[in-house]
Amino acid sequence: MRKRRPFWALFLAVGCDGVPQADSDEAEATAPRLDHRAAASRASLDLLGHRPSADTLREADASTLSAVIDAASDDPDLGRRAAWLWNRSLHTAAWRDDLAWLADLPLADQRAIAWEPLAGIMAIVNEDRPFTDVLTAAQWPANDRLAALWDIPYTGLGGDWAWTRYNDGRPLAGILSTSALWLRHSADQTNFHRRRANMLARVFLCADFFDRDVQFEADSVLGVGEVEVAVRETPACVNCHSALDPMAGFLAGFAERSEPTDLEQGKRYSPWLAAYGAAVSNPSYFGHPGESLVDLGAFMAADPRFARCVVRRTYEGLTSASFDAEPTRDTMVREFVDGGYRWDQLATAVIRTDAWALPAFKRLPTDQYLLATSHVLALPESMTGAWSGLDEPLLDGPLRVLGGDPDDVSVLEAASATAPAHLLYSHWVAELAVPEAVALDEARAPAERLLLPASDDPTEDEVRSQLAALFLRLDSRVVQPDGAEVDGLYALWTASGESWEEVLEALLRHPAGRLY
Amino acid sequence: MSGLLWFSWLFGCDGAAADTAGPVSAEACGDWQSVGQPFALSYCASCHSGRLSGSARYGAPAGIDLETLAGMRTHRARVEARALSAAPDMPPQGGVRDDEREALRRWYACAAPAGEDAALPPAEGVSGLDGAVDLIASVIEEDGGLVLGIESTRSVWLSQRFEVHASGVASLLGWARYVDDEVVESAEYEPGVPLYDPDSTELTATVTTTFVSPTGEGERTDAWVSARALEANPDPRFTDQTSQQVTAVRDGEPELHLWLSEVDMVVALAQREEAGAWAAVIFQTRDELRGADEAFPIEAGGSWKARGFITAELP
Repeated sequence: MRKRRPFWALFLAVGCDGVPQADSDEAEATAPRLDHRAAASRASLDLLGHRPSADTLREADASTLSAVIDAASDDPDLGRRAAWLWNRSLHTAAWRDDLAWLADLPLADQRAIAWEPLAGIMAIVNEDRPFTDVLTAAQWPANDRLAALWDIPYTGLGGDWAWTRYNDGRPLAGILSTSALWLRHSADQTNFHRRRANMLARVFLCADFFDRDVQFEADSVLGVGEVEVAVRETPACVNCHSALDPMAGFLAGFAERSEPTDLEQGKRYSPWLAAYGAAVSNPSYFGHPGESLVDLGAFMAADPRFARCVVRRTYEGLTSASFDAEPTRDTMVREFVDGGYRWDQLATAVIRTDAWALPAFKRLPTDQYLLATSHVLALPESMTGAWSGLDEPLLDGPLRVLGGDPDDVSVLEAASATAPAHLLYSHWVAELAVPEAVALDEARAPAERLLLPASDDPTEDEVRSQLAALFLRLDSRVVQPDGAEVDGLYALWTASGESWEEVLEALLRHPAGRLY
Repeated sequence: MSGLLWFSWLFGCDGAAADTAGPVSAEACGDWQSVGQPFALSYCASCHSGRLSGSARYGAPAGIDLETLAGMRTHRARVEARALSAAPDMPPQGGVRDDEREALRRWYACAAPAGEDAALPPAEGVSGLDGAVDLIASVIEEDGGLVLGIESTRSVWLSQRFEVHASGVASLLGWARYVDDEVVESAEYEPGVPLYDPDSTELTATVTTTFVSPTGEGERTDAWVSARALEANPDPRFTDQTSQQVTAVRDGEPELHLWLSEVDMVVALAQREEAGAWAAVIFQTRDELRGADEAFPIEAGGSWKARGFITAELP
């Protein structure tokens, strides 16, 4: 067993100055700016989900930020980052605790189901398709596992995600046609898809009906039948239900249970149910009658609230600032629409705003933190590339709660403040990830090692050089091999019996690791 | 300020703008896409839409339509009075944020600029529901059997003849479809196509089918299988706790669907016509049938509202 060091050792080793600093040399009259290295690191983490290469950081100058932003548009990690960003509102990638039976599936099947709605977003971004395709595409990706689960054709190679189509008669309207979306966002027998309709309004229109401050008389208790009358006749109910119910009518083809009893029910789409629901519910989209999911997707994509909502979510996701306070917000929306709804162009435009650059530091949300940690430790990605070595902490609810805000709704959001639980989370992630990462690195050829020195019997200078390289790799910080930071870490290395695992865990456990 | 903006402030804005401290920039005015249309869609058009009629308007007066830029301009005074006044009563019971009302006031004050006028696209209309009609369904006794007749505007639209035993076993003996009370196609089954047996999940029979249609008469022998699936209910609003779907299959192709409630009442049916189209009927209330015994739901004397359509697109 490894010799454990006291918790204070990591503070001694790493110090508390790991937070990116504003560069006074470049300070503007009204606000400080990040230095070149911190800006490049933040841009890479925000756009791609991982830190820049050591060479990029080491040689960072005034042109580096633009270079990182420009290169991101062609980087496939941008699509994955977009997908995880949208997961913060869709909540499809991590919810298995809500459906107990899902946990009985093999992990690869869970991943496939959880990733289905996001796989299309990833592909649309990476293939430079208009973001409206999310609601209108006549195809959607599946990997081999998902294709087998849903009984749809698999068109890819080697298990990769590839475009395909459902062939059970459902209208094809991008994410709206995916079974996994409706497994995640269920509706019960007395709800008639209204909950699902509101999810669409909330996620894609930023028009949550629950946000309406409608004046209610809340002292009456209605039976199910009375409710159905009230939603058509009582003004306070009609306020929302006149829009919500006809929109829900588009979704009638999907299973309408609180919790599908099995996968068969969950994946089922019935054209007859859809026709029946359409006949009963008179589907319309805010006063625009339609008849199928295809109409719903087309309406939503053409709705100006959709474009604005995409810009809002992207802006707030990347800056953590209020979109309503952004002076260029209308221009940003207009350029997004005029530019063909290209998400990569939108994201890079956001990264160029003052609101993105101004905060002295930001906190990494749990998903971003785990993806970045997997990247710096060079943990292997799954075959699909959608998940990385630390996906289990993302799927496990209690562990996720440790890493984000303390409830299962906002857990994937950037924490509003640093909490003691985050230290526990970092500690646990480090213990989980580092042994595997070190073992993998030891197996690499000496010249290709990323975490350990090339030599199995390094000199002190070689150890110090490697420790400085780890600061750069894990924290985007340039330190000198003979500097104070390395002195502390070197002391930990020697005191722990020359354990590289101890050193890496100490770096990962430091609170500054979640700031960028 | 540019001359153009100054001109537009002088002549493009009405009294509401005059209440403000100074001229309003184009950015602050907003346009149809950034202000007018989002407001109209969120708070007006779900009832006040020229594309809606009848109960789908939730009581909105005919002709007061706000889903288009033209509508919002035409009814500006009404919108300002009902939605933007100090005590607005639209949308009913509130729900609009103050900043949204203020943005709409500014937009109107700037003469409701269009920007790039855009309307949502027309629906594709793929399912044929445009042809859906309101129907009345009733059951009568005839020649010792039961006939489900479905009428549209007092004209028979579809009839089905059933044989129902006290045990609950039911068979379809034949059907006819009418246009202007004239039979345009019909079928007779000998023996009846087994449709329902509470004790069976699948019923198989060899049935002789005789078709009559304007193009001629035909007779053939078919093998029919009826399968019953539990919890395949199309809409729980009109059924009870456990539901089921009966699908009658001929030569491997579904020909008839019946959706039944727990107490064995038909809530919907869909039937393939000889021409390949499907006739579908959705029964909108079952109240008259409540209290029925455990028999097949169609009993003489029952009648209820239905909605129906014929389409070649489904399923």
